Amino acid sequence: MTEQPFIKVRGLTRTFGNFTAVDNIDLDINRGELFVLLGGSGCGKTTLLRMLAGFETPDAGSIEIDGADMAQTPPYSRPVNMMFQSYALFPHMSVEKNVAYGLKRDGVDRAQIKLRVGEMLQMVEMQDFAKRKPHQLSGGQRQRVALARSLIKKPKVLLLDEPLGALDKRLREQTQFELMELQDKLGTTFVVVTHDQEEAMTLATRIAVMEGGRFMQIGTPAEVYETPATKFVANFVGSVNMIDGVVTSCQPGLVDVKTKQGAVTLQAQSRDEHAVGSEVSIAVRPEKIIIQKTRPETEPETPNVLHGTVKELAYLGRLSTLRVETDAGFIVEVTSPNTTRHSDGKHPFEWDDEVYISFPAASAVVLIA
Amino acid sequence: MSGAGPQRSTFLLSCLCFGFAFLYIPILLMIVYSFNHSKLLPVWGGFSFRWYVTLFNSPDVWAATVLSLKIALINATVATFFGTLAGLALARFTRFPGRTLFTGMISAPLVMPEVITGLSLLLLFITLQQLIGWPGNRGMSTITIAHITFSMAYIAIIIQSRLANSDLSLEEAALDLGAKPFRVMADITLPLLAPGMMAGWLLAFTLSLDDLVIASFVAGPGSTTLPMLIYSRIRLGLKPDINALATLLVLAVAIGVLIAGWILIRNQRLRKP
Repeated sequence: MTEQPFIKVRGLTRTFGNFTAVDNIDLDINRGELFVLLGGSGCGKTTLLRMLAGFETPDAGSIEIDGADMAQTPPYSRPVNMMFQSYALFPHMSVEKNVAYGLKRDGVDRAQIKLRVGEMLQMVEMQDFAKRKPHQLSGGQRQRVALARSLIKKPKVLLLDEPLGALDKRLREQTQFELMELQDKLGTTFVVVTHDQEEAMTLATRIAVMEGGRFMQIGTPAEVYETPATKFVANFVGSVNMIDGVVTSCQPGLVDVKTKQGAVTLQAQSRDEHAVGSEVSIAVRPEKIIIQKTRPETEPETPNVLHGTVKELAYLGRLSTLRVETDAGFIVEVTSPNTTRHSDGKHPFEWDDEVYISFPAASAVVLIA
Repeated sequence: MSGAGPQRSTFLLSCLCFGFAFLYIPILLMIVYSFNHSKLLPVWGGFSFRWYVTLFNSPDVWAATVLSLKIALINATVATFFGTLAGLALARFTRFPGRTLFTGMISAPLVMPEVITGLSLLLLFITLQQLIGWPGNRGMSTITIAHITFSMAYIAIIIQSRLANSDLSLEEAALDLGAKPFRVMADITLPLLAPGMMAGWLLAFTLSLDDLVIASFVAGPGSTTLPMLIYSRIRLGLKPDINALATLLVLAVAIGVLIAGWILIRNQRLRKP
C-alpha cells in the first residue's frame, strides 16, 4: 500500500488583477515532513502558504489535507495553524493568554488549558515569562511564544512564514536546530516559507524552489544543490560558476562543451542526451574547483584544467574566495579552505598569482535553461 | 558652527513664546478676570469667587449646562458607535466600488463651514417635518443629531488611521486559532481599537460642548446650550459671571483633550516597545 500524500495540492492558481501569484501548482507533501518553500520576494511562496491556511481563496485548483478537501473550510476550522512572520502576538494579552487563546476558542475546560499551556511554555522554555506582555519580550522570546501559540492546538500541519526572519544571525542559527528538534519530537508536518537558502538547506527534508508562481525544482537539499534543474535554481541556491558554450560531442554520460569565450573544451557528466551544436551552460560550484600553483598531472578523469591569474581575493577566515581570470577570458570563482595557519598574514594565493584550476567532469552539471 | 546652535535656539524659543502668548493670553486674561471682585470688567477689584457663586445660583445657567452635558454625552456615545463602524469599513474593506469617494466624503464635514452644515441640517429637519411630521419642535434631539453628524466624521478618521497602522495578521492569527469572525472582532479588533474609541469619544464630547454655530441653527425655543447662553449674554453686555462660566468650560474641554491625548500617546508607546 502506498501512502497517500498528507497535503495534496492540484492545479492551484491565484491571481491578483493581472499578476499571477501562484500559477497552476501541483504539490504533494508527506506526513511528518519539514517542507520548505524557497524563493525570492514576489515568487508566490507566501500566497501559497496563505492558501493552505485559508486566508486566500484559490481562483482554481484544490487543496486536500489528510484526505479532506479544504475548499469550503474557513481558516478557523482548518486543522492547520500558522506562525506569522510578524509573530502577530496579541499585544493586549499576556504570554499565557496568547498561548491559551486557541484552546479557549475550542472550548477546552480551564484546568486542561492551564495544564497544556504550562507544558507548552515549558517546551519552548518560556515558563518564567507567562505573565509578561509581548512588548516586554525580546525578539527571540516572542518567536518562542508565537511558536507555542501555533502548536498548542496540535495542528496536523504547521505553517511557518519566515519563522527566523526577524532574528539576528547567531540566534537564527541556534533557533534553526531547535525548530528541527521540535519538529522531530512532535512529528507535525511543517511547511516553512523562506527566502534564505541557507535556512532552507538546514531545515528542510525537501525544498521547493519557487519563481514566478511556479516550482522550478522540488527535491532534497542535496538534490537541489548538487543537481539543480535550471540555471535559476543553480544561481538561487548557493553560488555557482556558469560557463556558456556549445555541445561538441555527447557520449553516454559525458558531454563535451566548447566555451563561447575562449573556445576551450570542458567536459561534464550528464544523464541527459544533448544534441551536438545545442547551446548549454556548464555549472560548477566554487568549492568543487581545485586551485593549485602547479599544473596538475592530467588524468583521464580531470580533463578540465585551466590556467589563469588571481584577480580578486577575499579572505573570509575559514575559507577564501578567489576570482580567477582564465586564459580563455572568463572568470571563475573558487573557494579554497584555509587548512593551514599563516601567522605572517600571507595567503597561500595572492593577487596576480598564476594558478591552475581544475574540476572533475563529475563536479559539473550541464544546464539548458 | 558652535555659535549657530544657541543663536538659532534663541530665535526658535522666542517664536515659541510668541506663539503660545498669542494663543493663550486671551484665555488667561479671561480666567484672571473671572476671579475679579469688581463688577466693572477692566477694573481689578481684588480676588474673589463672587461670580462663581452668582453662576451657581442662576437657574438658566444650570439648565443650559445640563442640556449641553446631556447632548455631549449622547452625541459622544452614538457618534463613537457609528464612527467606529465607518472607520472599520474604510480601513478593512479595501476594494469596494466608490471607496475613494466614500473616504473623501467622510472627511467633508471636517472642512465644511459650520454655517453650511447648520443651514443644511436645518433645511433637512424642516423638510422632514413636512414629510413625516418629525421632529415636532426642534430642540435637544435635533441638536444631538446635528452634533452626531460631524462628530462621527472625526471618529471615523481616528479609527481608520489606527486600523491602517495596525497589523492585519493579528486578526488572521485569531481566525487561524479557531475564532469565528465575530469572535475576532470582540477579542482582538475592538480591544485594540478601545483607546482610539475612548479618545474619539472624548473628542466628540468636547466638540459638542463647544459648538455654537450648528446648535444655533437647529435649536428651537427653550433649548439653549451653554455656548448659546454665553453668546446671548455677551450681546447684552459683558458681565463678569460669564468669565467664570467660560473658565469652567475651558477647564472641562482642556481636561477632555488632555485625557484623549494621553490615552493615544500611552497606547502608541505600548505598541512600539
